[in-house]
Order: sequence, then structure tokens, then C-alpha cells
Amino acid sequence: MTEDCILKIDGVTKRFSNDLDIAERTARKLGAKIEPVTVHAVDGITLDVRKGEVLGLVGESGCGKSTLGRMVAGLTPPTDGRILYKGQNVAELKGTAARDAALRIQMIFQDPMSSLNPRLQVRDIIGEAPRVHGIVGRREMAGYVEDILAQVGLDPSTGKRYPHQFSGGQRARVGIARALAVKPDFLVCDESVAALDVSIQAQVLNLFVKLRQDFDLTYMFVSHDLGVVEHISDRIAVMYLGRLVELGDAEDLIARPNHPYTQALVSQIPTFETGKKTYQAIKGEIPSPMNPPPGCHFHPRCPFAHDRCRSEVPVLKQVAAGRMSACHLNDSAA
Amino acid sequence: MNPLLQVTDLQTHFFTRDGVAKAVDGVSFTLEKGQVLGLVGESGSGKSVTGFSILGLVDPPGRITGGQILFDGTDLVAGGEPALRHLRGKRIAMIFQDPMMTLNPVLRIDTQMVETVRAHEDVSHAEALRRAREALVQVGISPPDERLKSYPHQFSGGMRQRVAIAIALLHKPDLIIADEPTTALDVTIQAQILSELQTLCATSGTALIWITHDLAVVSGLADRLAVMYAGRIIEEGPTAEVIARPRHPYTRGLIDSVPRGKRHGAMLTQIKGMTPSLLKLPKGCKFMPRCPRADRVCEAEPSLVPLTSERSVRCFHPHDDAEEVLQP
Ligand SMILES: Nc1ncnc2c1ncn2[C@@H]1O[C@H](COP(=O)(O)OP(=O)(O)OP(=O)(O)O)[C@@H](O)[C@H]1O
Ligand SMILES: Nc1ncnc2c1ncn2[C@@H]1O[C@H](COP(=O)(O)OP(=O)(O)OP(=O)(O)O)[C@@H](O)[C@H]1O
Ligand code: SF4
Ligand code: SF4
Ligand SMILES: [Mg+2]
Ligand SMILES: [Mg+2]
Repeated sequence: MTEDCILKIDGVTKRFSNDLDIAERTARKLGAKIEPVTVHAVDGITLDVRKGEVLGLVGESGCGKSTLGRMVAGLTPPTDGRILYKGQNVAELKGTAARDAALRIQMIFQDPMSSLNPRLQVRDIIGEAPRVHGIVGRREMAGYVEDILAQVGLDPSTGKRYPHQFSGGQRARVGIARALAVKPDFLVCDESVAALDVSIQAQVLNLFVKLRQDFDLTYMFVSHDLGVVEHISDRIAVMYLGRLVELGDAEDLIARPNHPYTQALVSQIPTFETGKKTYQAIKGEIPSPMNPPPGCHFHPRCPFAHDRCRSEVPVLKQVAAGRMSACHLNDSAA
Repeated sequence: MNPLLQVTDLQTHFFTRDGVAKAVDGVSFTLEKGQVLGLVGESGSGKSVTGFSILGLVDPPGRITGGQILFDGTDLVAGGEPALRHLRGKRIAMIFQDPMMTLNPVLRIDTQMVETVRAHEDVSHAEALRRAREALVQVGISPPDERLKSYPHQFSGGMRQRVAIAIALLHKPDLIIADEPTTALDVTIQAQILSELQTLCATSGTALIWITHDLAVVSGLADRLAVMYAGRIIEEGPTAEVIARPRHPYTRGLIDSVPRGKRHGAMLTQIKGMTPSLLKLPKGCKFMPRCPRADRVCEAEPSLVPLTSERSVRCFHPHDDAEEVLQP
């Protein structure tokens, strides 16, 4: 483990199995070949996050980004592999050490509505954890909460409202305020600025940058918006169907993507259009983590796929200084 | 011929303990069959509440206090719940910003989709299931047969959003109000969905209200763009023109804030000042405290005035038409 690595993701896998329903169980007893479906949400990811960096995490919808984020935040244990925070296995911590680690790593959830208690006023949602953990004294609490609300661009007087009384983007900012209120060291931001209009998005991103400068915060920043990810990240990790396929310096990775999937992503970054555009449907069936294709997961959609891709899994390896990629093409290019 | 939807001077207010929040305050627009209207604007500016109002889904302490919503000749405000009940889901569908407003967490997706189909059409269970499967394929959910048997919590965030879109597509409605429908979707899946919607608009004449903050997507999709601020439309016109030559200072600030081509890690341009609270709106122009062009004249209330036959703006000192912001 290197000096500046704060979080080590070591061969982490997460599988979910969807149980059979009654009809299927009966059919199975009668001899039908029905198996419970297993979802390979995250498939053997190894990755170091450095202290004080912003690591961007991108990839197709359903490729396992939130699942990886939830494991990092200690909200669900890996099926295989370990996650070490400052050298300690988060899943094995007990008592105060576990509570402390859970506070240090905060997650801002993708779905603010279902992560906020609908029966609590927003000022209590934000103030609860800092109060319970003695981060802020009782007397300073009201001012503390108002201050955080203002930082995320919400009128401090809205603290008395309940979550359903906010607009979508306002609610997303309540989720951000709640995570910031416990003064974490490590933030997992899951599509945290997706619901925000560009001006408020700029305000929140500027806040993230400032917190990082002032408090050396480390971020894992999940987003589908490559423009935003490139802007805020030091490094970018690209996932495809549960696996890490490319990792590298943010600007360089966007400028010179190595992996064909990253290339496809970068080529499709939306730009302002001056007229109506005709959007293209995806050709062929979209591979799924319920029955991932053999070999390279990307081969059914890869324009460069060849025989080896259909049978052999490409390993993630260094292809240039500071750049890792998992594609067989890097072997043939001698 | 009448437009499909004509909204005139819509007022939707929330009567809270601290005062009246005029979430929608005099919104007017029209939408033709097959047309796409992009509705953009600051968080909290009233975009979702405009959508809820059309569908009659504003809950107390909120209510529509004025205006008219004509859908295919029927006044939905005057007609109330009886007029809306058989339109909702069938001829007008809404894709909610929060997919869990559409999805029931304790029911499997197949059950929910089959119920939706059969609520408005007398078809067999098998036929309804076939339609449900087809809709999932349209939104790129794979493998459809296994996914139909899943519960909402077994989907990723973006997949839940897509299931909600699939449900809205089931009846090929005349009007879809899509509220931030692709916020969490990567570019490939987004293109897949946009392509399906474009096909639907072209073949079934479905009209679309596309509520979003994503200017890049809306610039390629919408015929017209309406920009909202503090419950009002402050600029309206053909999409390409509004994006390339915004006339209102707010629209301009919005476009300047997009993080594209800016130096990595640098601070982004943000519109100065804070979104005003709806309970303490300034007199005169609502954008005045934040506006770089404001002067004494702006202490009066500007109205939405046409600049050309195609464009209108609510501002006393609009930007010059010659000032091009974006070099596409
Ligand atoms: N509790 C669960 N039970 C079963 N399957 C699950 C569960 N949670 C996630 N999955 C599956 O795991 C896969 C990865 O989901 P995840 O939420 O991590 O994706 P994601 O990359 O965050 O996608 P999105 O961008 O759409 O949010 C998906 O196929 C999803 O259906
Ligand atoms: N139940 C309610 N009680 C009081 N105010 C409300 C209620 N629901 C919405 N509002 C207010 O109405 C305003 C408009 O909300 P709306 O949801 O339409 O915003 P929006 O433009 O969709 O924003 P976003 O982009 O953040 O989703 C907001 O300021 C919001 O706080
Ligand atoms: S390993 Fe083969 S299929 Fe996979 S990305 Fe590389 S060329 Fe394409
Ligand atoms: S009317 Fe005045 S304050 Fe309002 S946007 Fe125009 S210049 Fe700015
Ligand atoms: Mg997710
Ligand atoms: Mg909204």
C-alpha cells in the first residue's frame, strides 16, 4: 500500500441473487431447469483511492457504480474481496471503530427522496447526526444547519420544511447538506449534481472543490456527465458491466481514451446543437449483468472485437504512464 | 386547427404557514401535435409544478388559483378530476422526476406494467405482458424477461428511471410530460431513449414537454425552448436561437455556467447571488438582485413581450441579437 492511499478496493465482487417465485419453485421441483438468476453487479474490482483526490467513476447505467459506492461507504458488504480504509477492513470493524469509520465516509445518495426521512423537518435531517455524535453543540446547532443550507444554495428559512415540500433539485441539495454536516473525510457522491441546473451545479461543484482545498477531503464522484467528471476529477475510472476497464489521469483519459468503450463514451459527449439532431438507437441486444457475455464483456458491441475477445477476459494493465486499460488490442500493438 | 395543449396564465400557489408561495405565476404556452417543448430553468423555478398542474396532481396546501389549460379543446382546470381521470396515463402521461412516484416498491415490475395497460385497454394478460416487455426493450433494459420479474429495489437508479419511462410509453399517449427523465443516464442509453421518443413523436404525433436542466440534450431535441425563473417564463423561442443568442440576462448566465471547455479544476462561472425565496420575491423584475444589467427601470415589472413573431422575452434591457454566446 502506497503512502497516500486512503482507501484500497481489493478484488471486490458483489453478486445479488434474485430468488425464484412460487410458480418457478414448483416448476423446478417438477424437474424444470430453472435456476435463480444471479446478478454480477461488481466483478473483481481493484483500485486505490489517494488521499485528497477526486476519483471520477463513470459507466453505463446498471454497470455497478452505486453498488461499488455503497460498499465503499460500508452500507453493504462485498461478496468477495476487501475494502481497506486507512489500512483497516471496514467490514470487520466493531463498536466505536465501526461507527467512526461510518461517519468518516459519507455517501450522497443518487435518489434523495427515498434516502430522506419524510417525517422529519429538513433541519432535523441535517442536524441529527452531528448532534448524536457531538460534532456540534446544542446551542450552535441552528446556526450550523443554516450555514450549511446556505452553502448548498438553499434559503436557510427552508429548514422548517419537510422533504416533499422541495423541488427535485432542492431535495438533492438537502442530501448533500446532510452528508457534509458530519464533516466527513471521504465523500461518495452518487449522481449528486445530476438534478441541478447548471448554475446551481456550478455552485455545488465549486463548494466541493473548496472543501477539498480547505479540509483535504477525498471524493469518489459517480456521474454520467463526462463534462462534469472531467472538470472535477483528478483521475477517472471507467466501468463496464461490473468491471473496471480503464483508469487514468482525467484530462488525458478524455483526450486520449485507450479502451474502445471509453472511446465510444467520449465520442458521444453531448454538445450544444444548432438544430434538431436524430438520435441513434443501440444496435443489437444490450448485454446484462444477469448473463454477462464470456471473454471481454464489451465484445458484443465493440467494433474491434476479434476471436480472442470472445473467450479470454482482458486483464487491466498499465498501457502508459499512469494509465491502465483492459483490452486485448494493447497486446497486439507491439 | 386548435393546438393540442394551450396553457394560459396558469397560477399555482402553495398556501403555507409562512405565506403564499407562487410556484407558478402566470405561465402561458402552446404545444402542437408532435412538437417538443423544452422547459428549462433554475431549480425551484416551477417546472415540475407546471407539469403537475396540467395533470391535476397538485396536492394541498397547493392549488391552481387561476388560468386555463386546454387539452384538445377540454378545459382541464374547469373539468377537474372527472375530466382528468380517463386522460391521465392514457392520453397524457407524466414521467416523474422521482421514478418512485410512478413505481410501487412492493410490486413486481410485470404486475405494475400489466395493470397499467389493462387499466385503459381491454386486452388479455398475455398481450399486456407482451407490450410491457416491448416497452422495456425500447428503454434498453436487458434481459427483459428476467427484469420483468424484478422489484424496483433490484434495479439501479438509472434503470428505475427507464422503467418509469417505459410505463409512460405503454399507451402511446398524445402528450408526455417528461420531468428530468434522463438525468442519471449515460450518453448511450440516453441516445437510445431519445431515439425511441423521436420515433414516437414522428409516427404517433405524440407531443412532448421535456423538463430539464440539461441544455445540451434539449438543444438537440426540442423545437421550442421556454426558460423559467421564479414561477414565470422569462424567455421563449426556437431552441437553436435561444441557445445561440439568449436575450434574457438569466438565460445567458445559465448558458455561461455549463462546464465545457473550462480549465480542469478551475472555479466555474455561477450566476451571482442566490435563488430568491418565493415568499420574499423582489418587487419589479424578479431577477433584479442578481442581474448585471439591472437599473432603476427594472423596479417595474417587465412583461413577456414578443421580439419577433417567433421569440419573446421578459426584460427591459435584453441582450443584443448580434451577441452570439456559443460558437457551435
Ligand atoms: N438489491 C439488489 N438486488 C438485486 N440486484 C441489484 C440490487 N442492487 C443492484 N442490483 C443490480 O446490480 C446492477 C448494478 O446496479 P448499480 O445500482 O450499482 O448500477 P449503477 O452503475 O449505479 O447504475 P445507474 O447509473 O443506473 O445508477 C444492476 O444490474 C442492478 O439491477
Ligand atoms: N408542497 C409544497 N409546499 C411549499 N412549497 C412547495 C411545495 N412543492 C413545491 N414547492 C415550491 O415550489 C417551487 C417550485 O417547485 P418545482 O418542483 O416546480 O421546481 P422545479 O422547477 O421543478 O425545480 P427542480 O429543477 O429543482 O426540480 C419551489 O420553490 C418549491 O420549493
Ligand atoms: S478486448 Fe476486444 S472486445 Fe474487448 S474492448 Fe478490446 S478489442 Fe474490444
Ligand atoms: S428587466 Fe432588468 S433586472 Fe430584469 S432581467 Fe432585464 S435587465 Fe435584468
Ligand atoms: Mg447508480
Ligand atoms: Mg422539478
